[in-house]
Amino acid sequence: MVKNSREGIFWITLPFILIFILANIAFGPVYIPVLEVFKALVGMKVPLTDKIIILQLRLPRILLGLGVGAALSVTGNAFQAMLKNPLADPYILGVSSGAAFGAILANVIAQLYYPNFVFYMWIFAFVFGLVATSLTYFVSRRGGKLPTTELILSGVIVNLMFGAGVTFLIVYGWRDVQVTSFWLLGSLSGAGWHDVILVGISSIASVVFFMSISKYLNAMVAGEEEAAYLGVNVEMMKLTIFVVGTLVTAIAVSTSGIIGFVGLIMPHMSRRLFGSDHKISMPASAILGGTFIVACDTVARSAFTPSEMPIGTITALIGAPIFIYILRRRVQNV
Amino acid sequence: MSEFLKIENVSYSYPKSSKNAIDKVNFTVRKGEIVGIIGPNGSGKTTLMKSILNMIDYKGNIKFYDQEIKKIPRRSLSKKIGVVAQEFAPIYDMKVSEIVEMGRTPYTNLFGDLSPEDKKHIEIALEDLNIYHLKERMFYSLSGGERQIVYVAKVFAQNPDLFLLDEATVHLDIGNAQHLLLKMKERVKKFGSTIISTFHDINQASAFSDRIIIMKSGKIYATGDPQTVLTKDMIEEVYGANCEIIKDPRNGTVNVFMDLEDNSDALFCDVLKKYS
Repeated sequence: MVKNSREGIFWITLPFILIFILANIAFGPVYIPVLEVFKALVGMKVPLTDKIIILQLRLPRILLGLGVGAALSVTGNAFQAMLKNPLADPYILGVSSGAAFGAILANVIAQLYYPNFVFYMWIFAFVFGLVATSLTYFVSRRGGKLPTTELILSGVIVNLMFGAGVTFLIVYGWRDVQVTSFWLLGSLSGAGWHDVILVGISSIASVVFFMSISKYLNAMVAGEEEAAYLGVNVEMMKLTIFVVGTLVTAIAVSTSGIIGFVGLIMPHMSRRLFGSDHKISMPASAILGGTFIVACDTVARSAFTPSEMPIGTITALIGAPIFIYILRRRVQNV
Repeated sequence: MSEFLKIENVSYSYPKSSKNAIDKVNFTVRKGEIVGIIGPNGSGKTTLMKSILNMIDYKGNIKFYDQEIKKIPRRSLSKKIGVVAQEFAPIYDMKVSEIVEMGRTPYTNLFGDLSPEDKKHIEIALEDLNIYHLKERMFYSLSGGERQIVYVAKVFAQNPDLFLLDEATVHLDIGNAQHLLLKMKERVKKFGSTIISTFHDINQASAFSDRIIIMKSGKIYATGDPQTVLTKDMIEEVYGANCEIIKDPRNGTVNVFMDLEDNSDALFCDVLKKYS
């Protein structure tokens, strides 16, 4: 049911966004005409090399980007409502770097001692993601509130700490500095269908979950006490959001490394376009986040051939100025 | 008839504090009554409100419709008790209609879809408060007074039996405060609602309440109708303020006037009392 015009706009723009996402398959070290791409996708005959590039290399990569972007954005959106702070996101809070540290720890253990450990990668990522957020949360908490300055500062510290941990583990365990950039700045290269399935399931589940608690998130936007007056079990809700958000972030990070700023700017943009009701802003930020990552990845893989730019560099170049804008605007409002 | 709200021996002390913020408080509230609570800063007014809402782990008993408040699930409680605090400040700007809809949170399904019943209560709230025309406006584009009325509309939509107003008029000018309090009185008349309200402004409490509870250092200092409890001695004893009490000749409402003249005489009397 379309409730209002904003929701209407969302559903109208959706098909165009999907077409845009698929059109990204055309770009890369080799350009494949868009028409060819759509032919391959619907199963019509195309040259074999094109078919392999489209279906085995670029499609999984784009779907992975879509999933990762969606997961990070909905998590950011939920964290912002939960912490009553529009600057919260998995990257700022340190969940991403904690998760990256966990994923690499599992990898290093696998490499040096028990090869099977690589299967526990996302569990390690989850655990260390939880450690990192808890750390940021408790360091910045002042009398039951999370002041913006403290939140960002403690996020920076936690990020630096786990970032250093990542570099240390890689140099110590792999003796290969090259992979550091994959983890610290993120990359969708080497995406396979198994990654797509894992991230796809977790991000779709997270979007549905966060949509189903949208009325509680709406109530929390006016503060924990107001939410409690409306019958929300606030502590339980916070714990659930915290755990679910960290889990989907951990899964995203263990497949694509740390990609910053998506979870911060995309929820903001979706609220600007479609209003702040989480029932719309959740699916909208998922779609926008996914599209943003896909577009950034297209630039990352095709603009600098033969080498590839880590995607986190591009999201940061776009995200940092927007972050500053939100921060400045917020200061003026207070 | 059973009591609507019964508070028995309720005490609470904040963590790391040796003193009780409220100390063995006892009182009952009848259905349809308007009770005003006054007292100086830190006298325990807000703590008492939080106890009634089961937001803090108080000692003693609070019975609401003969049921212990602690045993009522939060969602059921929120259908019965609505709160208007000092201000409503969401982090995102929202449409007025979205904020009023928020009042239906305890009633709606998981995805927050509004039933005809929900819509009816939202309409009533918007109409009773005369803010139908603001429905499509953004919350932060409104004036402070309008925002507080939208907040009240949200709580009207929640359709509680008991309204707790926690200094709901403290940031409002006299016109907006009057508007809000009149609308609350109308609600009581129309739906038989009950109100417990804390006030800083003694005159507002006096004009608004059927009964006044005066708190001092966590205890109930006095209770009764405004005309009997609001006396010069009480104000001096509880607030440490010098003032004059004047009755409104039209309806007998008691008004308190602060004394800003040189009060050395009064102080001298104090000294005499102490040493005689």
